[in-house]
Amino acid sequence: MIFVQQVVNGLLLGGQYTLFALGLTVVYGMFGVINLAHGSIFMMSALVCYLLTVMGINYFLAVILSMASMLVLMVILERVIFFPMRDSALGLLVTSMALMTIIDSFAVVHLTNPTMDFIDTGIPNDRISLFGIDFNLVRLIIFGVAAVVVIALALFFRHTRVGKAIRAVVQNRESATALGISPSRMSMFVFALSGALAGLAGSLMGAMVVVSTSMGSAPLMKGLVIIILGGLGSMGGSIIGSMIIGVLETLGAYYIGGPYVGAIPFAILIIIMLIKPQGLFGRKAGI
Amino acid sequence: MKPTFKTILSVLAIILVCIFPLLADSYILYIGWLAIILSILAVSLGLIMGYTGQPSFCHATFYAIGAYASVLFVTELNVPVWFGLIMSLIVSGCFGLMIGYVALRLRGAYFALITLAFALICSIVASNPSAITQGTIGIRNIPSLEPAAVFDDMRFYFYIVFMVFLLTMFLLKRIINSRVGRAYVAIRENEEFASSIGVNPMKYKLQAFVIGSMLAGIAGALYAHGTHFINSSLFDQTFSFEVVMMAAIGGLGTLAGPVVGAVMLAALPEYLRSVGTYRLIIYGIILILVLRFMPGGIIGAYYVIIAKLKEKLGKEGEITNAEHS
Repeated sequence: MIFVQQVVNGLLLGGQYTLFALGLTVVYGMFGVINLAHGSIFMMSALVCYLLTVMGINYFLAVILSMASMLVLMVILERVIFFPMRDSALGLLVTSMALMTIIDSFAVVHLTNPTMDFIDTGIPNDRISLFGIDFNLVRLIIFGVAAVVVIALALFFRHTRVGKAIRAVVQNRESATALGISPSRMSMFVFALSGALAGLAGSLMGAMVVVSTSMGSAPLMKGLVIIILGGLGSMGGSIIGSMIIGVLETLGAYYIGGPYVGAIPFAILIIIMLIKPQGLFGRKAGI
Repeated sequence: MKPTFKTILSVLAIILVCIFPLLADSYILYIGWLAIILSILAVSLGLIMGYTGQPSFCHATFYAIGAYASVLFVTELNVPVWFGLIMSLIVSGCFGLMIGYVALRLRGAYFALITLAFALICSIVASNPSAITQGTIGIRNIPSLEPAAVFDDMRFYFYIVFMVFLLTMFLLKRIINSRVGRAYVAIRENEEFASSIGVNPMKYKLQAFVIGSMLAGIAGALYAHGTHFINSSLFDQTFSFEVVMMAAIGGLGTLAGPVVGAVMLAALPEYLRSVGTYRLIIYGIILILVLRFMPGGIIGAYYVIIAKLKEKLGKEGEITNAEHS
């Protein structure tokens, strides 16, 4: 029963990672570049959400506000910094690294506050028992939100014009352009989506871990492991990858423990890269 | 051979650096000394990133490994420091071979991520206080180079470091201008094409990666024996990012570029003392501006300006040489 309990906890955690990893995946699909600043956006959104709730704004309203602000921030970054650099993959990678350093240092200098705590959600911190398994209410609600968003995204990509156009650009930028899809506009959509997802993931995660200026780096690294595990640019892969990493992490912490537990995802990453470099669901590409 | 403008400039720079310790006070001397060590580090990344085109995000890890290798050999086994320096080359070279062998099978973004993962594993292991690195407590009272009576004086140690730097530059220059160097550039420009004309990409990429990590290792060892204290913060991720910034701001694909970048970023905090906490923010902004408006870095921009000047003066021909060396 403990094992099942741990697996359930892992899946709940995986739901969180999905939101984060999907934002990374869509941007990778667009430019073939990992946005290393994604974790910083995640951290900023948790901070914004925390500051809003401290000011007395309702948690769910604060989540929407911080999502919106991350969306705007991401679109600005995309227009000013990312899009003009789109032809150089190495340049984009190094640029996103620079952005990550800038945002993180800015947060450390201006927003560090030792009294920071969990975000107050207003939801009672109860446990529900179902079939002998305990569910934390906050985590369950957050998982529910993540699941709804992921399903909505899947429908969006399958059934709307914009969603299909994004998928077309992701699959083949040249052909999509030839068909009259504007890569510039799609790139803006993709970054807006990525910003909103990071914003949602950050403000939800803030309800489960103590908000701090360094909370972006661990999800970034796990997000990288997840999207590689799932195959870079594959959305279904990143959902399954999130679940796998969530479960493995929870089981690892419970059954192995110790100081090196944090290194397990990276060890998994290196092993996967050696056995199946294109990931579990990735297309084989000369990257 | 007729001395070119570049040779004259290099000789002048060497002379200037040689008289620098005689004039500087101890603090400025320390900054200069650090700038030279960082130059070795940045130029060795320049070989990997600028010439073979592999974006490595774990370069400072080799620096840290080299530092710890030398220090642990000296403090635990009581070998001479000179021997420790050689061991730092060997140990970081072995790590480079191991990581390079795994990571270089992948390209571009995948390669960058696997180096990042390696750097993170090392950082997690090293910051554990019970590990051999002793975590953030670190190792104190690291001995100076023998004879200690001479090299305790920073001025003499400065010359040793500078000599290593010159040797590094000489070695890299020889590599770059040889058949091997041209193979590196061929791989950077088009790996499939390079292998179709008989260049084995894996062999050359691995070679560059190992040479780069060995040089990073000795830079780390030289640092450790000068500051007499190291801890696990040497493994910090931001440090690797800073090295990438140095190389990219100075100019990738040249030897002088990373050196310019390293000296700039080592000296900048001294001029920007009032904005100390904004150091990384300023580096980041400079880097983004450089990548966007002068992708060749500072050295690239310098060559463009020189080329324009020469064009105005009606002297063409030498420009192409300058761009390719």
